[in-house]
Amino acid sequence: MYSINELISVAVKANVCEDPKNIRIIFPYDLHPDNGIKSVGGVVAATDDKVFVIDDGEIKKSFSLCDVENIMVTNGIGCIFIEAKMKDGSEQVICRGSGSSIKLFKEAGSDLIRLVNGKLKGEIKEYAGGNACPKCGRPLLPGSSSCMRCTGKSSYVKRLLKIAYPWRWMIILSVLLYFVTAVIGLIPPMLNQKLVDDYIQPNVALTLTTSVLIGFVGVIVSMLIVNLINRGVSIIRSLLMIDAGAGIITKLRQMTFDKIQSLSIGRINARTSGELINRVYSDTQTVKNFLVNQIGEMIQMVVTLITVGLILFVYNWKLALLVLCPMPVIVIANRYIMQNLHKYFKLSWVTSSKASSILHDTFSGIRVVKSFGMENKEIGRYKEITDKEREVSIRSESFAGSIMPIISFFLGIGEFFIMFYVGNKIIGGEMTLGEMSKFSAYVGLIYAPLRWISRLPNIISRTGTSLVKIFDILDEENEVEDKPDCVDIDINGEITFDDLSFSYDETNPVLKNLSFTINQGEMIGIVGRSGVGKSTLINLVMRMYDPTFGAVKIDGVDLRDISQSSLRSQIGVVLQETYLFSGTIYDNISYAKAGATKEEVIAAAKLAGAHKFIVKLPDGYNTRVGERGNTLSGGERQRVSIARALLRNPKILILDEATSALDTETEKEVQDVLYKLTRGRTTLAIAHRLSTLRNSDKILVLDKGRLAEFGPHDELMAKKGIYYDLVMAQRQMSKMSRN
Amino acid sequence: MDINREKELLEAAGIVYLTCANCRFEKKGDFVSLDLLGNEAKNYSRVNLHRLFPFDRPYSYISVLDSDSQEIGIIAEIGDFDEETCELLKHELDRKYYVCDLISVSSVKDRFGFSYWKVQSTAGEITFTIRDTHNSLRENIDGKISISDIDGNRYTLPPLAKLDKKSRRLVELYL
Repeated sequence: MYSINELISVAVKANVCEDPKNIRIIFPYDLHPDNGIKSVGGVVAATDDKVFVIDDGEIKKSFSLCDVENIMVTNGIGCIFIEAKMKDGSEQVICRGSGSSIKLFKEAGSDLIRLVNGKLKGEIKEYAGGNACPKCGRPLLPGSSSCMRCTGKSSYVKRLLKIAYPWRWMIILSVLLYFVTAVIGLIPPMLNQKLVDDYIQPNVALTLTTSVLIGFVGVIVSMLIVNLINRGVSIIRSLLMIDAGAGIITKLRQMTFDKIQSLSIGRINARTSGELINRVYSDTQTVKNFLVNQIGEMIQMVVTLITVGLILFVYNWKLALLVLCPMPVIVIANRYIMQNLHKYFKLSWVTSSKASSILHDTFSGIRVVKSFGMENKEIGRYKEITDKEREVSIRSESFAGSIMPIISFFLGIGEFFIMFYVGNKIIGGEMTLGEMSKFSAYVGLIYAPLRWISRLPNIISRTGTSLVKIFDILDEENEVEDKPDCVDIDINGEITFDDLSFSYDETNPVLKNLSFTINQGEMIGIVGRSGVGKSTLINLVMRMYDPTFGAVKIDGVDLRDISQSSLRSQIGVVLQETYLFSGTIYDNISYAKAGATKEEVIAAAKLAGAHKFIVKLPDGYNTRVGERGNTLSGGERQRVSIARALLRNPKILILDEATSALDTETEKEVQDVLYKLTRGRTTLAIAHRLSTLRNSDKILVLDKGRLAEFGPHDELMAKKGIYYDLVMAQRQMSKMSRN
Repeated sequence: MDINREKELLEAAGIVYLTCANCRFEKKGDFVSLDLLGNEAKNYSRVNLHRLFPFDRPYSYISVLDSDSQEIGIIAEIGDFDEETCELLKHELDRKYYVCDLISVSSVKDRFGFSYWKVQSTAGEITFTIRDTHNSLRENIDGKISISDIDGNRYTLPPLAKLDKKSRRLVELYL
């Protein structure tokens, strides 16, 4: 990746201009504009007058900006182009970049468009190096603005600890109790030694006196007490952790959920709903487990490792070395084997998920399978994947089955050394049986942390992954933010589009230079071909996105100066796809307005024509609508959703194909309802069936993202333009379908 | 019977197949232009080519679109055109579809839910990152392996059988 100074130096050497200050835009490209696969290190530089394409230090192409009609950024497959459309009608490729340049090309292309239109402001800037981390050059994860390797794990840990701060005492106490557990764990082997050496097999024969009995019982009782204390400490620790864990996970989930709710629709759409659910549920669970269980476990393991290690070394360093010497090798081998095992299990997981996916597909689509007589094909498909699953399962299980006993053997090999060494000592009278039992118990204790260490990388990696994903969401910048000085306004309903252009990716405009005004109380029908930008236009009115250029104004105030809550509380929306939440009809209608009275809900339902079917339901407004409202018919769902939109008594009503999913009769009924409702309210209605827009005051026709026609139905029909053609085509079609 | 049904279906679809008999492609500026010949004669100063089966048949079944992305017709096989036209179309397709040819895989590391690949390509060593390996790798009908990275870059690996042992072991896990 070149720095801006290096790029300017290339441009100056190629004689783009004498003074580098004249360069307004400069950026690199990495694919030859004309050659299929050749990679180059080219540079595009633009001054106020000209664009230069430099390759191998020479200007390969240049053209004057006044000859350019438009600049376009177009997507190839695995690559991206910036093209120029010239005023003479010809088109040419300016540069081509690989997929890694997409972000750079979109930003640079957008600036080139501004330069051509004379709207580029500010100094020359350095464009982000594709989707790579500017520091280390590694690709950034999608949706992430920070590189995991460069941000530093400590900053994530610090932020995590800040989240856990309210529960700090519980966590600290719990960690201390882990410490206590580790220390208490050292006592039983000592008591065991005393029991064996003093009472079970003493050096001198014992006579059963009261003091011996008291001593014997005393040791047993001490063992019991230690065990009791250990269990008691575990119970207190668990209770503390349950409390802290529940608090932390609730806070993490709430923070993540709140952030997702505040993101713009564009940012939310960039992720699948499954992915977002995973963030809120699984990732927060992993982080919580780490905080409340694994940190304490880590302390316990470290304390055990250090104390038991010390005890072993102090008691007999040669014996301790005998036990510990093979451990590093075993730990490393164990880790290597675990990695391989992990790969086998992953393979096994992938094949089983493919098999489940086939099952899901086949059972969900069983009607299609049977209708087309494809049962045998499906049986074959399933057999193929289960055969593969069997093969993978045999491979992974055989590996695990043969390697695990070997690992266990090597992990326990230290015990054979001890048996040999200690056996000799006991035979020689240098060590007692009790000491041997204590030593063996300590050796057993030290294996647990050693085995645990081999799992540590996996724990850290899993927690790190979840942590990064959660902070990715929490750190995400919102595209549509309320300004600090935004205001609440009481909307009258006049909507103005002021030279508005909009593009989802800042380059390929969906709407171009729209300028028109909708008067207060007017009903406007928006028509145009699919994909022409009709829904985008209404999304802009609702401020789901901000315009790329220009502005949307309501009553003369730029939407960006109005608080989003104030704006949306005065807009009612009815969409083609009615989404009802599981709950009652009442819940669904009152969703639009917190604290709505029963009277208001009934009034809205009545206006929407929903009341007449609700009264016939046994449970009236308390009827549960089921998941996505599936216990109601399409028309009923639509009426409930209209009632929901009306509950706010909105100043602006938006109808996006509100009746297109209904049958003709129901559509007519709902249309009549809507007609009554739209009177006096500014209404924007999108409909493919133009007859449904017959009551509109004006029709707005979009064509290729531009405002093609705007006026009353009769006027546009007389004009015989696009609207006329659309109406005629639909009339023709309905005639044909009647015949 | 089947042949008749197939014929009926093809006729009903009304797809225009572009051949050297009914059209002529030419290079115009940096792009390709199209002249439809015969009764439907029309000139398109710029057309876009789009592979209908990019993984299975990269140079067959090419959809030819106008500037509004409306399909003008389909080229069943670009090899049916004369050598010059065939080269022009092939060149245009190769420019639009940038696929980096890989030779072998040096390492794959799974970390934080993503896999980081270090590979040898015809242009030297490169690294890339993949998310959702399940959907980012696919074995094509000819056995070649197509990979898409998080930036939208595309790569092609030789068929598993032609890969060295190490690469095969690494890639196999993700197919």
